[in-house]
Amino acid sequence: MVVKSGTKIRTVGSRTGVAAALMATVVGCSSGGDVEATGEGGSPFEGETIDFVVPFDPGGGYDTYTRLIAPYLGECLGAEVVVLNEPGAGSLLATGRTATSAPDGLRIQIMNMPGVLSSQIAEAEGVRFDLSEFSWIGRIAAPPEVVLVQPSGEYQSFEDLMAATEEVQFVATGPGASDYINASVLAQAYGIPFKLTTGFSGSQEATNAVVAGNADVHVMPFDTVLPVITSDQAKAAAVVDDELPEYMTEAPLIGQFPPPGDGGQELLDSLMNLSAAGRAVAAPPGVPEEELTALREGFSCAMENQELLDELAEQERPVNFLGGKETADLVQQVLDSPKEFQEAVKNSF
Amino acid sequence: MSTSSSTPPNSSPTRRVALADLLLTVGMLAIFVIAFLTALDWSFNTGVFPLLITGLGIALAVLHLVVLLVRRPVPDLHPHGEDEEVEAMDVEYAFEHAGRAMWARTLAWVFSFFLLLYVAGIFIAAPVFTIAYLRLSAKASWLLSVVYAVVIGLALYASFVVFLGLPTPPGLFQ
Amino acid sequence: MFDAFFGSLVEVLQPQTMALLVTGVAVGFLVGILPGLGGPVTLALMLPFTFSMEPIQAFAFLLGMLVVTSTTGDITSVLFGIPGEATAAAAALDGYPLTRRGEGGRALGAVLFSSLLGSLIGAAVLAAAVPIIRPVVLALGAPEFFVLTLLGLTFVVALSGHQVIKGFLMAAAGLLVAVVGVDSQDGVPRYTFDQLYLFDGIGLVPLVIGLFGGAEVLQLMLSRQSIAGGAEAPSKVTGVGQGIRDTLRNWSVVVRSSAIGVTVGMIPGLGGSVAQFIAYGSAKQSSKNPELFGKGAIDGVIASGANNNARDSGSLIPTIAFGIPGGANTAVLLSAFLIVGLNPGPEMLTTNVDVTFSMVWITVIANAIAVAAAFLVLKPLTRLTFISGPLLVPFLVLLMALGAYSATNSYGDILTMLAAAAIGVACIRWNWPRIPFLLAVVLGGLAERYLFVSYGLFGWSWLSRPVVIGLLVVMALVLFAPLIRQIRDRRRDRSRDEVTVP
Repeated sequence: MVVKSGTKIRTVGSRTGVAAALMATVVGCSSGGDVEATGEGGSPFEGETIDFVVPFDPGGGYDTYTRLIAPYLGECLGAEVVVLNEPGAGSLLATGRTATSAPDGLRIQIMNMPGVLSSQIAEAEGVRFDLSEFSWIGRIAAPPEVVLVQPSGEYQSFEDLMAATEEVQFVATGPGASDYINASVLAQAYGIPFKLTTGFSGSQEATNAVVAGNADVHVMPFDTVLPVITSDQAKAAAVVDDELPEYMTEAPLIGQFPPPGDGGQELLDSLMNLSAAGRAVAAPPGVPEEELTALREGFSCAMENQELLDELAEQERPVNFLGGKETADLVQQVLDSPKEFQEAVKNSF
Repeated sequence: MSTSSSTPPNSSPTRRVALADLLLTVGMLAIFVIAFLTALDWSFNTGVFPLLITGLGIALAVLHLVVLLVRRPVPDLHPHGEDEEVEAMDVEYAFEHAGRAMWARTLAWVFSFFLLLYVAGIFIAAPVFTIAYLRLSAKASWLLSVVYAVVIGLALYASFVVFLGLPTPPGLFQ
Repeated sequence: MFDAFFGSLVEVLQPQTMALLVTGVAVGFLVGILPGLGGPVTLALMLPFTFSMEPIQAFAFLLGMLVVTSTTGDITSVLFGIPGEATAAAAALDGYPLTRRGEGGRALGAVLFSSLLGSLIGAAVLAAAVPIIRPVVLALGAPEFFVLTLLGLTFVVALSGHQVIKGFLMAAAGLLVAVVGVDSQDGVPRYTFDQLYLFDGIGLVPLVIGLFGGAEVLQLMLSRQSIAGGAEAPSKVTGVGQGIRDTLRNWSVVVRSSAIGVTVGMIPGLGGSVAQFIAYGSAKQSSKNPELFGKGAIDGVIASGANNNARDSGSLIPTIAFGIPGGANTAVLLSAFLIVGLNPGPEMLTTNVDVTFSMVWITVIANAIAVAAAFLVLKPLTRLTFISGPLLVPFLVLLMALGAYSATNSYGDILTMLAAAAIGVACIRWNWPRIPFLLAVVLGGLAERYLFVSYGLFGWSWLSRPVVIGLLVVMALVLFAPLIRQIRDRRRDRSRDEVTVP
């Protein structure tokens, strides 16, 4: 369903990247100042300006990743990469714009994949794109979800949650948010009786409801809540993944707790696929083969740069790079999830 | 913003104010009613606040209408009753005493700036508007107008593009 | 604890740290003056520069920049009537009329000096709060925040002047604007007319710029006079000292406004855009000359100035102790914690307490530098208001357009700003109060969210929480105090009448 938006809202044009260059020098990557072409030489983006769109306000996690990566991507492509914030409608606004942008590879966007994928599955209002059509460039990271509980609360472990007979108080920022979807699908998979309270002005505030003992569970990406866990304000009852992520030393994996009923495992697997899509980068649908290949190679060149990896590690920002083709397959796989999962996601909106 | 409501300098503004109040209140009442009817279609969680708010708005608007209609215009409805001397400094004064032609001209300037901004982007709209406005409306010299426009354009470019790297309003063709 | 407190001062005073602090102050100074272009955006843009800094250096740079924007935002409000920051709108209400009377120097003196005092009080509270921060913040939850938003709404009465019905009508309109966007319970878009731009609700920055700045610019275009109107251009800026003396004389306003700033600043999502008007309303209620408010009351200017800067320290409290940002500014500051490898939370009050204390010093030093610098450039700035009005118009119109656009980089922001300007002009032309509208826009959405969260987490038992009850009592006092005073005055008048008229 592509609805033409009838406002005067337009895409933001590109600007010169003096600021980007400034930042690049501060970050200390372009040592000589010369633009370094990649091995292949003659990238189709030589000398061009590429907009790297962040669909959120400046300052958040997605913004930081993008600003860290942009100079390295520019170096690999021989182009200037300018970071552009286009917040609105929980990233649906910018994603819709990217979907209808010219397929020249000069506009790429970082995406909150669990968010946009589930919006599309649920056919939420404001979805004016089809993710399976985008030109996928790669995935940056896929932070697994963590089930956060109170260390001294009524439910201190995942077993406690599974054994719950009364309604467990979950919290989330709002319907359609990934903490909402994760909470409701997990509770359904394990048959946990639950109640979901929403309306917090931010995810930190929802987490704090658990810290303060006013709520029982908040399901969040591990990198966001790592500080809360390491300072013992809250406890990871389970990590929703097959292995422990970087920077997390000990926590039970969800695999230790097989879901009781039929279909539970299927829901859980689909949910893990959803969060595996993670933080990915895409160009508009229909980017020609040559440009797309160049973007994919440039992106993987940037993501393999040791200096960038060191900087990301310094900030404890996880990296799980995945190539463009594989990312595209993963996106398709999530969109083709079993009916039960699609239903469960729809119920979370 | 309506241009049709400028007050001829010598008529008593009191009645005008009351009439304007009446029209504004009726307008708000209409908005509240439409919003209320829209909210009726929503679920309880979604609709309860909008219903309360618009219900309150409808009640207040009706109350205000009654007050306006029952109570004939009284002096304290008039914003600046006694000391016109001091009031000449107030923003209200300019709004009340500008003639219809002045309003039309001013709004035309504002409208053309934003239209130009939308069509041509800030780096064309800023100098063009500056020169045009200074020459035609402020009756400034060519020299001053051009220097002003150049300085403004450069300052914009330096601060937004060079220093901060922030996007600025683009034109239709950018 | 004392060692850490003074040890952190020594760390802040290191030459390199001070150099970064001064750089931050310089950037914040300019950004604060420009309308719309505010703290959060600039702060985010400066984040990458901190990648290689030590924690205290990074905060000297970022926090120094942040606290200064609150101070210099007031300058634009006072001189041009266009709020330099969304949080500086209240300063325009009385500061601008003073400027138009040719008393810009006095207004600026008062607003800058009260800003300095406010930042001192805020910093002192922050420093004193370190040992008790966590229990205090843990005791405050959605129910307390909900009642505080209600308390804020009661100030609609005080801010409507003699036109209480009009004030309430405007507040109802504001609440209606506040519910625009996707609702937080069922995810249904409300009053969005199928426009994605409206899904996140109406942006505050374009709204404030239009509502307050639009009327002022239009007025300059219509009257074609200089801002200071008929007032004679003085040969030198006078009244700065007068403004400082005014501030000292109204010390109780400074203290109360600062207290309001710190308290409201702690509430996530609420922040300065509301705190300023609560402080302003409370100054008006307790003023000897409430009728002067909106026409150039110096205590109104002082309340806004002091409040703004105390608020910054307030919003740092939940950020430091729990990683919950108190406002848009501190949300970006939170990223800086991660960048320099700090975890907000208990560590900030134990092993890293020196960093926390350094923030206190940074707030104080940055504000002192900014206010001193501002006093130096007061003269040329005030001169601007004696320039012929039409000459300023292109400059101001551009500032408004760019300021609004920088909110989300969308033409939707400019349309919002223009719509708000139309509302602002209509309000002034036909004498409807603007502030209840703005107050309700900010508070409405939060009131709804916090009520749902309160009910979701506690059922109706949230009504029996002690802080909630205390706040409800305060609310009743605020509502009925004027009434009681009125009755008392009338009784006194009558008894006097009985004495004099036999």
